[in-house]
Amino acid sequence: MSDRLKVLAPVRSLYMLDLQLEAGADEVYVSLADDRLRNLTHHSRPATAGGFATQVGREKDFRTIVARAHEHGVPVGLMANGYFVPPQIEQGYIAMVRTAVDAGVDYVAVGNLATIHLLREAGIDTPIAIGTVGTVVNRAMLRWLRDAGVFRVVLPPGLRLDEIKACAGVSGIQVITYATTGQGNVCGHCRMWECPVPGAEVGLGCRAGYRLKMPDGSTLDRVTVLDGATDCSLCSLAELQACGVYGIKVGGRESPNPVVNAKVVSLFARGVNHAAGAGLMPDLLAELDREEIVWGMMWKPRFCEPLRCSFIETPTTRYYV
Amino acid sequence: MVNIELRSTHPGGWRELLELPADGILVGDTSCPHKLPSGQELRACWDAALEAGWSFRLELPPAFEGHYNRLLQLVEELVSHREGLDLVLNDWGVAVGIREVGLPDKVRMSAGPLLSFSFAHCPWHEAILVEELAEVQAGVQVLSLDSPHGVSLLRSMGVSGLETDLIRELGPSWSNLARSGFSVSGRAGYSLVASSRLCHTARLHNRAIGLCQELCRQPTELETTHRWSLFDNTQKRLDPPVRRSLPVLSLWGNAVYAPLTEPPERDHLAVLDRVTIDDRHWDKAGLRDQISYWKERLMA
Repeated sequence: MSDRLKVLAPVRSLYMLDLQLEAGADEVYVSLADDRLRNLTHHSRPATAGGFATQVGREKDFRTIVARAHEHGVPVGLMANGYFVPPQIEQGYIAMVRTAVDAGVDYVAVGNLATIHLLREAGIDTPIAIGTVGTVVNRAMLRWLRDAGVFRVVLPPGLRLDEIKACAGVSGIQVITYATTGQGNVCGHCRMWECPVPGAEVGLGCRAGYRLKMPDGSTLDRVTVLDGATDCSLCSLAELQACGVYGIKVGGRESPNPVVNAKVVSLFARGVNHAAGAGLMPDLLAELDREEIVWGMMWKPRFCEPLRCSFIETPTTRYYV
Repeated sequence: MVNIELRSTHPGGWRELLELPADGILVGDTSCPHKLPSGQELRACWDAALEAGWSFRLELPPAFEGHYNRLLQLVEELVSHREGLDLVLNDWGVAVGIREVGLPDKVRMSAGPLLSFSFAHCPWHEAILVEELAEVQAGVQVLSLDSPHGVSLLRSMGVSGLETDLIRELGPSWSNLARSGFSVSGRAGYSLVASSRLCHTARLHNRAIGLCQELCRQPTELETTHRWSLFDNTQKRLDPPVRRSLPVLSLWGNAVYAPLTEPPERDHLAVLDRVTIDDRHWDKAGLRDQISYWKERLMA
């Protein structure tokens, strides 16, 4: 029997941490701001999304969050997973990571293989994970990363279950998959980043609406042609566990309402417990229908009915190259 | 001397290109494994290129686990055909695989556009950066591997070259990397903005994957009109000034491109090993014009 999946939950405040602990998070992850940057960050999201912070602004708050999580026996990961670290902001990046390490984070997630060299050359020997934007999509890369001392990889959305199983079969390195919101492009291969600047706001390009001019000259309006996001893996938790996946990551550091995000974490915590107990997924779904208002009112219409499933064949996954 | 290389992403498309006044051919695809020519065709292309006095390079897309073995087998097949295989990789795992099967001395590897990118590749990067400090704005517009740690990674992977879209702001990065001993190849006209595991084009036309190649012969143009709001899952109309500031994008298969409008500075072009012109973006007359244009710029 494979081990129960761990649930990794996002945090941006002490309040959100307490909610996630209550919801059943096994680990939390958090980002720390660099005062020298405005909208840019040292992780893969802008400083704010929809007006809500994606990171902790003050070192004091960050330290409190790490300490509180540890009191509960919950590991904390630092998201330092920018797409890359340009030399111009390298010192700020290193300083931010050192602060977080000094605060006691259990690992640092980076977004680019070169950043492993940067951290090691800076003498930072905290365990390193590779985040989604590192785009690790095959076993060969997992072997290389393991041999380079990386202990964990978050696979990007867009892999099939059989591919995840192969990757999770590489010994000596943990594999995490995304539990929730995916994107339309491969995140590490997409430069259509969110622009949060007031007056110039552009959301994620992969989710935008476009006016299409087709090769025959005809046009189509307001088509979300790049939106291939797969946003939910709940029905596949038993398969992910059987594949040997270590854990699932719930997104949403920037959630406007941390209560709702914590509810999502609790749904997935319930799901992994159900899978670990060899429960049948239809039984879980029936329970959620009866007992969880968020499930019936929000999750099902937004994700189930439009078939936003990550690991079940749908009109989206059918077109994977 | 900077060479002119033509690029064909369609199996068989390279034959017509050999008639043009260029110096090399790049085949394969940046983002789609189904657009790779067969081993037999690649061997024929390589032979024909050498006969014409041209260089030959093959670009491989990301090696998702389900495609990995096929891509590596293709490399092994070509290595056994001739010496001096020149590869453009878009996945570090392939570089690892080449080392694992004992071929690192038999191939020359370059980091492709999915590994070598920048903030300037974002079509609205100026808006993202507008509130940053001036030195941050200038300092972050570099290639992702233009740093001491980037160079360390390239060397540890056995990679000796990089691809770059010819985005004007990236010129200093080309010079830095050339000074570090890497060959730098520039791609003209368009920059790669995104690629996906999902083929947007095949889905749009409801065409089975693998039976869809002809859909990639013409682009679908994308004008951004609405932005997505994560929280309420709605599409909000873009403000007109924002909408007007965004380029019209081109969707080719599972990849999105943006047009390049400002040519790089001549001093920066001079450090390039080659300029690559993609045959998807121009007809034959347009390709001839592009070849003439770049030859003139590079000779100046």
